Amino acid sequence: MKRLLIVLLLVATVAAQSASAAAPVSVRLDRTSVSTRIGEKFHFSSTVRNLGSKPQPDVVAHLNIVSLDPSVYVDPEDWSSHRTRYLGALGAGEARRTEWTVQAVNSGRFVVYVAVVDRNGQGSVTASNPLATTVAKKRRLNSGGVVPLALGVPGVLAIGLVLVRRRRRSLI
Amino acid sequence: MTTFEHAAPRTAAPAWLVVTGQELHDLWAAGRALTMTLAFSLLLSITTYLVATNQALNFLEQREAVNLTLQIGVAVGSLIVLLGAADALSGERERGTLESLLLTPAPRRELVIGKGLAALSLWLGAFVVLVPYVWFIGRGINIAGVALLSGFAIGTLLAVFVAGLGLLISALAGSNRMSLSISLFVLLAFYAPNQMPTGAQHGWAGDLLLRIDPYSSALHYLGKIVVDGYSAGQDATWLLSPVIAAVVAVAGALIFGGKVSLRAGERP
Repeated sequence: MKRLLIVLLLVATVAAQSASAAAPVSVRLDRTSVSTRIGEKFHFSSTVRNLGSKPQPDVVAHLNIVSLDPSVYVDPEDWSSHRTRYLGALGAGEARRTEWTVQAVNSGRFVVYVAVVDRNGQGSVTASNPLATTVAKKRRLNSGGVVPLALGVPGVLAIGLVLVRRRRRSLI
Repeated sequence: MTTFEHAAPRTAAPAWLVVTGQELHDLWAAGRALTMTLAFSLLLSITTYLVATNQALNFLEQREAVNLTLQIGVAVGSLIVLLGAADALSGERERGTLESLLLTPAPRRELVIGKGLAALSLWLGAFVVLVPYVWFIGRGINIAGVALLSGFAIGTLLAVFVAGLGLLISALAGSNRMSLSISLFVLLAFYAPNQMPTGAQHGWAGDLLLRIDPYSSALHYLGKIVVDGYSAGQDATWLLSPVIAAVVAVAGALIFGGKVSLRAGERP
């Protein structure tokens, strides 16, 4: 009987510890993949839900982007200038939806995700499901004809300047 | 440099018009304005070439590429106006020609108006140069017309502001070097808020700074029209600061420029 009590006590302790270690919130994205072209913006939303029975006093959601290609450097600030959202308190069972707008700045394969943390820095970091993002290369501007323009306008002005100076010299 | 050697026979023309004509002749026929316009076109050529061919810049959505070129054109175009206006009175003082100018029958405020209008012609010249570049980048998406129209309106507003500012500083400065230095410093200060990191532009303080700064607010408004397709009346409150700045700068130039006089030791 005494052994049984000890085992039950151990099981209860482990269960309590695992419960406190488990994330009290979940975060889900409304999409799992997106294909776009470089320079274009895309939108998605995240839903943060308090899974616990107690309110979460201060929840922060943060957007991040990871490149799956080691040769592609990602500066997330270029993709979105509004990456951190302070969601405030979440009551027990309450969910909050947040809209995100991201501009694809690099081409390649990326994972976009939202991480949720407690604003006091306690507890664990909860990450959303990944948003697999494929960004195709795109040349928006037809560069044909740029050289004649880039040389022509200053050329015409330079000729005008030479003529004006020559005329001025002849008058003197 | 304005001289009134032939002003008397053309008596029908008001003094400010005579001054404007003479200043325009000095600026354009002497090649000073053309030199600045040539430098401006070289800058636009480099920008346009990079936007069109460089992989790192070419990702820009076409509207954003138009906006980038337009903003550079408007900002540097008004810098040229500032250089012209900042030289207007202090330059005459330094070249020893202010006395003869002040002895003419033209009221001093009309001298200031004439010199201001001549300085504004530099913006018109810069805008004419800007047109083919904006057309080239914006072709195919029907945005060049809107971009050029809004760029001309915003650029003219900023040009009036910096012309007034340059004349005001030129009237108060002791030397031409001082006038040009202060003018460039002030202009750089106006450019600064627009160059702040994106994060710093958020929040009420960043927003307020952008709205107070005539340059940042005008360029922000221009970006909204060109990139986001806003109508002219939408978010027009962003124009409040440049309009107020233009009125204050021109009024200051007329008040202080109207009192410009020789200082001790300036008589040749």
